[in-house]
Amino acid sequence: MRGRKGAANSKTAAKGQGIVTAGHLLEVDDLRVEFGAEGGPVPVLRGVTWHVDQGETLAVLGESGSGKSVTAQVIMGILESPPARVVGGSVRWDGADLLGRPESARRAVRGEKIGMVFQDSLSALNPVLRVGPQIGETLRTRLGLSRREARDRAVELMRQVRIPDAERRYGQYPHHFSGGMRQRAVIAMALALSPDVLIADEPTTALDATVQVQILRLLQTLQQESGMGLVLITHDFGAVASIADRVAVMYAGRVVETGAVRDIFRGPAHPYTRALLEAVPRADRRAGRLAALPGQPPVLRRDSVGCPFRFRCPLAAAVCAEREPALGEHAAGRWSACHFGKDVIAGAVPAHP
Amino acid sequence: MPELVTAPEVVKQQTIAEGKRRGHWGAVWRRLSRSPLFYVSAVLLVVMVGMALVPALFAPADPHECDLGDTLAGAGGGQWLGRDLQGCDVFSRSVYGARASLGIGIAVSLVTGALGGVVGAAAGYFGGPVDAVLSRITEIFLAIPLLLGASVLLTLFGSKGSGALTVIVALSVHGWPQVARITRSAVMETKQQDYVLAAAAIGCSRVRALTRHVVPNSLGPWLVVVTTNLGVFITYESIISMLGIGLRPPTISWGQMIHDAQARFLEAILPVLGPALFLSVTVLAFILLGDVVRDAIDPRIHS
Amino acid sequence: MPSQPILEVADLTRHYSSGGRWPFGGASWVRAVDGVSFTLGERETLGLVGESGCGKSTLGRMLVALDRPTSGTIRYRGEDVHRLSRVGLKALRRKIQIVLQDPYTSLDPRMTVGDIVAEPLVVHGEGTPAERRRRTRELFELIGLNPDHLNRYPHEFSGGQRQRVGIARALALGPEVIVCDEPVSALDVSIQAQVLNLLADLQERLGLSYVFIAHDLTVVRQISHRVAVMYLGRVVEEGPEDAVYGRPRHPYTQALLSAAPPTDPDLAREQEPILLDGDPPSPAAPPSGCRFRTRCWKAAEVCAVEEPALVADAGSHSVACHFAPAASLDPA
Repeated sequence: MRGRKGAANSKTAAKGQGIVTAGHLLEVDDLRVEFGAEGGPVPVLRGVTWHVDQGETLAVLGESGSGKSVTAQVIMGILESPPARVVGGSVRWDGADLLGRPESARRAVRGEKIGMVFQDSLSALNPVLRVGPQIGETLRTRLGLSRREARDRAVELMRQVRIPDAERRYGQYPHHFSGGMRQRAVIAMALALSPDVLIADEPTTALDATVQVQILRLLQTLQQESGMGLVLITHDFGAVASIADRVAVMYAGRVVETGAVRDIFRGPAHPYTRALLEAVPRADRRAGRLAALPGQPPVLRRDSVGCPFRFRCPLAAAVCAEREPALGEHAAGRWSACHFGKDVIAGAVPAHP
Repeated sequence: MPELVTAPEVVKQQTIAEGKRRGHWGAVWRRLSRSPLFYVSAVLLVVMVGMALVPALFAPADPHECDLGDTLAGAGGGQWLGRDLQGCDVFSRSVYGARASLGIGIAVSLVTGALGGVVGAAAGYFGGPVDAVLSRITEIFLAIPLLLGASVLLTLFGSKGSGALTVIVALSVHGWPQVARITRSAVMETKQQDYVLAAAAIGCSRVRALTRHVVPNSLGPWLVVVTTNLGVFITYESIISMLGIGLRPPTISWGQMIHDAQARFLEAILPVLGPALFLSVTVLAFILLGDVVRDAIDPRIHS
Repeated sequence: MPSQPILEVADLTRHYSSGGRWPFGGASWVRAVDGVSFTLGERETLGLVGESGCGKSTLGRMLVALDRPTSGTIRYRGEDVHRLSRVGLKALRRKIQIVLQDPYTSLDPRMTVGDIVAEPLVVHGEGTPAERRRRTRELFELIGLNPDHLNRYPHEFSGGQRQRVGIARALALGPEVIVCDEPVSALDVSIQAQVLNLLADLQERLGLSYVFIAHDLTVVRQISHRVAVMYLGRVVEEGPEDAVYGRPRHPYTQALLSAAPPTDPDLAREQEPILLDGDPPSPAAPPSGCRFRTRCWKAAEVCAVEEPALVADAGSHSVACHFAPAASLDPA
């Protein structure tokens, strides 16, 4: 993994000076978003940085409220604004900033280069239209395909996402589809323009366990077949362990740890990641008592100082209240935003009381 | 997109944790008190209610002291809105008309609010056959246009000119179904909430569950429709009186003033415009109030 | 762990009509629960696990008498729950309580959390207001919330804290059995663990029995002594936790387990998941014979004709499958 600039020197990047332009296909750099609220704006993203390249799967892992979905909404231009507002940072496609460009240019990238799959497949499909034509619609509007061509391509896409009996399914309405089949149709829609990156925001959360595996495997297969980049936004540790190459763990609107999936899951470099891994119940053994993380995620404020995790952290020291740690490299390829990253990797973390 | 929901949640938590404890209605009041439109409508309504209660305070002249010699005089000489056909001061009569209009509007709103509320709540909460019967009855009444139904009732029963009570009854008979329908759907939605199930699980009686949990949580939509209806029924009263089947002299009402003046509309416009202005302002104020109440109860609808 | 059964469920069914509304009759019958039997011992936790539409929530609601069975019985200490008088039923509610899934909708937003927790006491006419206040404070301490926050409203709390309030409400009357209907599935991982630990502590301290309903196998294993796996209204496998997870015998259980990969990337990639075909069928039209046969890789002709019975081995590990591997010789 090549060197990435941390949050420490991110201020220059936030101004759009474009220090690092070469390299990554899709890159989120120091992205900052605020929500307008009754008591003044509240930070939601406080400098999110991650990237994804062709042929790899990045998992963005985090609990609700960590900001993991907001990032995707900014990329896709579907952030509800107001109340939300991008206040800094950049999203780069192939080195070129997306946020600063006119809407038409952004739309071209979003639709054709980046596809998105949402959690709720029911609301992603129009209930009064047949499923097949909905998949073909983008082909007709974006590529100007004829009705017939769009139909053939849509059926092909439905086959690609393993919808059985695609010809017949083409003319059915969303309510004829089961939850798993609907999610497949939504994936087919996202794949219609053969995107280079697919962002899947909690694509399996609403599904049954046996269907979740199917969809996860499908995404993995599609990614391998087409060589696209896959961004899997999730809170499911098993899913991440099964298909991700790299992981970005989010907490309180920032990436607190990032690296290769094996490194992170074997020996996390941030106490939060470590605590989460210990708190996950497992099917292969009964843990007796789970090592629960105490407390709640913090309420973010503009004027917050120090590490937002310190209230729940067994390592918290004076320095943690004074300044927020930057995302730094504590060992080769091991990036975490913790003052004691090296200690955490070494396993020197006292258990929670 | 859970974050879109959670983030403002977090904010709310924070601001409230800092301030003093307040419940749902406390929060509603706080939002109301921050809305400039609320103050506009409130001031207008206070003035209107003041006129209705003590018209003498607002009216420069006695509305019954008329001078036929000055019939249809224009504005001026102490008569800001001129004189009507009988030579009475239009402004003073309009002030005095507030009592009948507001009184009937409020009375009909309360009657329809109570009747519609009870019927709707019962239909929504008990469901099944109770709902089927009550809903069909509601629909039958709903199928008759309010104005037409009320006119028929008034022509049938109020042949010698209707008293206030007759007008209230005529409007209420046809006004409650709308309230019932809105209350029913609000109650049905609330009834499905898990806390109602939880109440049953701890042994709450159906009546307690209805009064303690379902009604307080369904009150919002009911309150909005009743508030908005105030303006609506004031309009209906005026229309009925304007058609000559509503209130009759010596009661003064805006509708009836418009009725009396419309024939000579081309010669003198003020006797029509005067009461119409009062009517519009009042109705606007009530509908505005209903609107800000709705926003305060459910801030997600707009903005 | 199991001792005297506190709850005995025998051949329980719940069919309801879907579609039609009075007076136009029902459109079709959904067999939400279709012949379920189990017993629950004192201080025991029975995990009920299954996917959507398997009937686990309907079952939970019948256990706390929020829904009436179409047939079959639920006995609490020998007494048929659904034949109780009004007075008897109200007394039963002191003994069997429920914790619901969604901490956001299960608390009345117009009431303070103190009033919510005290409501069972009010409904059952327990104590003076001052005594109830004291008891509420005790309950708050028991479930790990600050008793000084009694006057706050639910929206001022996080999901995990609200779920604690829901647990406190269920504990108010001193129940013996608590039905937990997906109590942690709406919560984040870190909060989930807190609530699971709390439930385990409470069981120990108060001697509670739980029926723990969830779709997540990993969560169920964490808390249960015995586990019943449900599919389309029926129990397909039931037994001690270590037996069901360690030596799953029903193909559905095996598939479910393979769908919950370990959090170690290498193990997760080694473990080839069993990919079932499609989604679970609708409980309105379950397949003939064995209900799982449409998605089962072992299915044969007999499966379409004959429904397999739930047969127990020596270690009280039962399975309903024509092709279940032979019972393990060394029970537990």
